[in-house]
Formats: sequence, structure tokens, C-alpha cells
Amino acid sequence: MAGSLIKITSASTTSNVSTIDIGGANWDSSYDVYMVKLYNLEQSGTTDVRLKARILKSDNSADSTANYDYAYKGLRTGAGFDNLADTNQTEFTNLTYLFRGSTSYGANAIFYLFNFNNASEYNFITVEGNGYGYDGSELMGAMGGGVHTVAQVGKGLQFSLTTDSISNAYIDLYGLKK
Amino acid sequence: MATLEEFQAECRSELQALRDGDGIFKQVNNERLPISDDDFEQMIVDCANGKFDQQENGYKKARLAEYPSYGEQLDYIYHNGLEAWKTDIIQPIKEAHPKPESP
Repeated sequence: MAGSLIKITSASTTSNVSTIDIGGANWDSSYDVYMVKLYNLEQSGTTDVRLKARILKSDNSADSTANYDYAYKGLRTGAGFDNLADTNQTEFTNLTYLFRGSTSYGANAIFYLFNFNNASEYNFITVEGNGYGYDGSELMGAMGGGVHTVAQVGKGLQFSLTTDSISNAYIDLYGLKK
Repeated sequence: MATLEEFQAECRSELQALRDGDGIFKQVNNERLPISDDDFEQMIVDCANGKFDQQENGYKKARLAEYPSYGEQLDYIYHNGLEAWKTDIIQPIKEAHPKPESP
């Protein structure tokens, strides 16, 4: 159906930042499901990194408590599938598996957010992302999901990298029209 | 082998130098802002945890990334046998990424 994705807010950078928040003060709580589109993600350094995310709480700060569980299938052109899973972490990680981002490659991903406006339910996300990683010559991706095992309202995501700064990224937040 | 506290001190020094130099910024929607003191302390925690995890578990991730696919390994076993698989495929990767010794 045309017009079902309603753009709420955007975040972008073309210079180094440690984190990028999407949502927070710009969060619109009138949707049941949200989509986050992240593209042209690049890093400040030259070694492989992993994309991470934390849930933004009702005060717009990132929740860094050890309540993040995730499970993805890691996809690679150079080897077999890898199982990427962990529990009670302080963030979601491996969101596009490994990538090495320069101007010629980098990472892209789509996330769906569920239950973010329900204070009595856990926050869930689904993940599908990929990037050019490992040694800079292999497509790697992740597909799966995660849950933040705290019953609280979420107001978006805060993205960062395992090492390095984010040097380039474009992020859009959409609500799925009911 | 460094302790978590030693990594925290190392990260604090590295990040403080960065903050004192070009500064450290965050992007909040479309606003670029200097990080707060709370953000800075969280960066130190994250940096130290990352380095500690890399020290303790980095070899597992590196080995996982380098092992060939199951299909390639099974084919190698079929043609060359289990001993050759161990010495030619597995052992070089394990030696390239050794498990850290306990202190």
C-alpha cells in the first residue's frame, strides 16, 4: 500500500562522531512498528569493526545495562554461515557482522522495532544488514533479531562501532502506518 | 594479560587525548554535539570492555572467521583424511590465533 511508511526523523554525518542517536526527542509514539534504514555507514579507521546499537530510554539516553540478547545468522561469501548469538550483553552487536568501511565500501542495514511504546513489554528488533568486511574483500552480513529484556518504553536507537568513530552514515526512522 | 582496570586506565588516557585534541562528538538526530562527561565515562567503559573481550575471546572470533566452510572441510577430509585435515586446515589457524595463557 502506498504511503504506509511515514518518515519521522533523520540523522546523518559526514565527519567523525562516537555515536549516532535516531529518535529520542524526535520520537513519535503513535506507531506500533518502526523501521530504521541505515546506509553508507563508514568508519574512521581501517580495521574491521562491528556495528552496535543500544535502546534509547524515555529520557532519551542510551540504556547500557546488561539486558541485550541477540541471535543472528552470519552470512559470508568467503566461508560458511556463522551463528552469532549472546545474552545479557550491554548492547546489540554484530548488526552487519564484520565490515571495513572506506569510501568504496562500508555497511547498510534495515531494522524493524517492535513494542517500543509499550512499558510492560520487552523491546524487540529484527536485523538485516551487510557490509564489506573481514579483510576488506568479503561480503559479510547478519540476519536475525534481538530483544532488550527490560519492560520499558524505547524511543529509538543509538549506534556506535566496536572501535573507531563513525565517519559517514545516513539514518532514517519511519513509522509503519496502521 | 592486562586486567579490566588496566584497560580502563589505558582507554581513559587514549580518549582524554582525543577529547583534548580534536574533541569527541556525537550525532543526535541531525544535531552534532560535543559528548557529555557521562558519555565520556561510558566510552571508557565500552572501550575497556572491548579490549578485555578481545584479549579473552579475540582468538575464538579470529579462528571462526578463518575456518573454511563445512563443505570444504568435509571435502578435504574425504580426499585427505582426518589427520591431514587437522594438520593442514585446523592447526595452522589455531597457531595463528593462540588461546591467551592464564596469568
